[in-house]
Amino acid sequence: MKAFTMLLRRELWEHRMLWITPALIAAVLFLTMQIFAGHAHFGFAGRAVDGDMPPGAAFELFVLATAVPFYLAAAIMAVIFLLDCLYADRRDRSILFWKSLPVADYTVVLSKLATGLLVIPLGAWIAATVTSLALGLSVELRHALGFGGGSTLPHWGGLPRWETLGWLRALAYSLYVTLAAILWYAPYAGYLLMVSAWARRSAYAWALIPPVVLTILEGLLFHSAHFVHLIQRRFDELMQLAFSRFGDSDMWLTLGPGAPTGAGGSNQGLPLQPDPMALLGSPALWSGLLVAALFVWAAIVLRRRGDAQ
Amino acid sequence: MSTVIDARGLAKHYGAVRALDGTSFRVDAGRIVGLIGRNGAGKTTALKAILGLTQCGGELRVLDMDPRSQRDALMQQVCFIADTAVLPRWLRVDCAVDFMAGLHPRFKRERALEFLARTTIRATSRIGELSKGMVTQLHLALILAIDARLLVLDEPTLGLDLLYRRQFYDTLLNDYFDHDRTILLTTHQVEEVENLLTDVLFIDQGRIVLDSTVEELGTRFAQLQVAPAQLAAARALGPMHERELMGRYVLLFENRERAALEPLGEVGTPSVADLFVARVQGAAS
Repeated sequence: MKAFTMLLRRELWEHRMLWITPALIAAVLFLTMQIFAGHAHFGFAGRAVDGDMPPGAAFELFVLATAVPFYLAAAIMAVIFLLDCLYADRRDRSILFWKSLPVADYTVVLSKLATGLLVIPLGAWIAATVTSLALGLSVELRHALGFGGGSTLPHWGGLPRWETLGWLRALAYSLYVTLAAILWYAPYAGYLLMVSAWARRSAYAWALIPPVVLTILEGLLFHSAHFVHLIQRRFDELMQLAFSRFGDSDMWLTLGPGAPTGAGGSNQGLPLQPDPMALLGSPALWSGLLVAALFVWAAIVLRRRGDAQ
Repeated sequence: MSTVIDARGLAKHYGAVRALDGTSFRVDAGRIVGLIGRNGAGKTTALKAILGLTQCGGELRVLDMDPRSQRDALMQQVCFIADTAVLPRWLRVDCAVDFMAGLHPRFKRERALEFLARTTIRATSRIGELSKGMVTQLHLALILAIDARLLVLDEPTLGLDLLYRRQFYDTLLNDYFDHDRTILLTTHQVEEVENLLTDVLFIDQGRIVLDSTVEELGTRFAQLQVAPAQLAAARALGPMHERELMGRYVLLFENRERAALEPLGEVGTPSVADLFVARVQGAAS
């Protein structure tokens, strides 16, 4: 366990972008909101959050929206990291140093998988949480100090006021989505890790060649495109599976124009209904995890065989 | 004396090239063994097999373990320096020490720091910022702090200047080597390690062409320098190799009484480098 923790620390030493990027996003978000708070107009589905939307839903939506850049960055970083991690050691020949240590190859590969699939997304969740806390408190502080014309509105300068329950609900939603995404996208992570252990030259090219070749072959031989659709569906289906009614067109309309305003008080939140049983009961999730395990196993075998050329 | 490496009939080929071709040798504890061969002779493949980094045919035991299937356990007892290029450039010196301390159960942090204190390496430097000589010093510091039984060095001083090379081997002898520990090294600069070695293994085209202690070399081989007039008489004694040097001839003999050679010219002990050339050229012809 001590060795595994050390291996995770090593990844953060090598890939400083993994913690600099979220810190940078947090700083930019925070400063932008401070500068533009008075002029911002945070809204959704045609309704402004400052007074026009149930307060619970408004703050929840605000917290979830500020988390988006962290998750986008995390997705990009995870792809770059997983594709590069096992290839870089061979490229710079440092693999001879890493292999001179008493650590099993599977431990090394699993530490890389854990970094790409757990540390990066959960790090995004933590960074987003801290940022939403700082943003919410800064809005409250400015409100308390009477900036923004001493507004008596429940919202200040276009940014929603603090709502503890809404905040906790948003955190629970985003953590749930994070964990669901980790399980759901594990086969992609496994595939990238395997390519990283396998690539002799550009790992990016190696990652693209097999799906492109398979798609072309399928098109030529069977005049169909099942493979591409399979990959695409896997990409799109998560939210529908993780939340009941997610795809329903009327779901978000409860927040849209003409919908009743926050008469239900601050407890009225977003109409999101997590459905973990549907997700965990989905054969697609488990078959995906099996595929992920096969890719990771292949990565371990390749790492064991591979050495510096 | 316990056996550290026992290799029997190692075989490995890359396409049509036989890197190891029935290679057999044994290394005992407390020895400093030079594995000497030309480029592509099979040295690095042999080392990789010993370190469990490559699969090969034949039987191989290192510290009584199978290096392929028990590599993780083996690497607790075996240290390895390839050449200076293999330490990751992004790693900071203090992080490298932390990393080893966290990962290697036999690593002594104090010992590494003590050794680093003797150098001009700064703890906050990244390896990419260090000179090649300093990287080697750092690698050596990390290795010396490990209580290991076998140290494998593959061209460890490649590209270093004379001072660093000398310092490297001096440190190795003074701070690392004792009679429980074994060093196996390959190098092109045979002259520099000649006085360090207790044993030599010459490898050529994947085969061991000479396996001897350095002590034994002096009794087994003799070098005779003769004037052209004595050349025919010297050749009649069956030299294994001869070369011309500034108008005189230098002939190498194996298992030939010195008393028989002395009347013909000046007799001495050949250097390891001369012997290597003689053996490899002899094998080629």
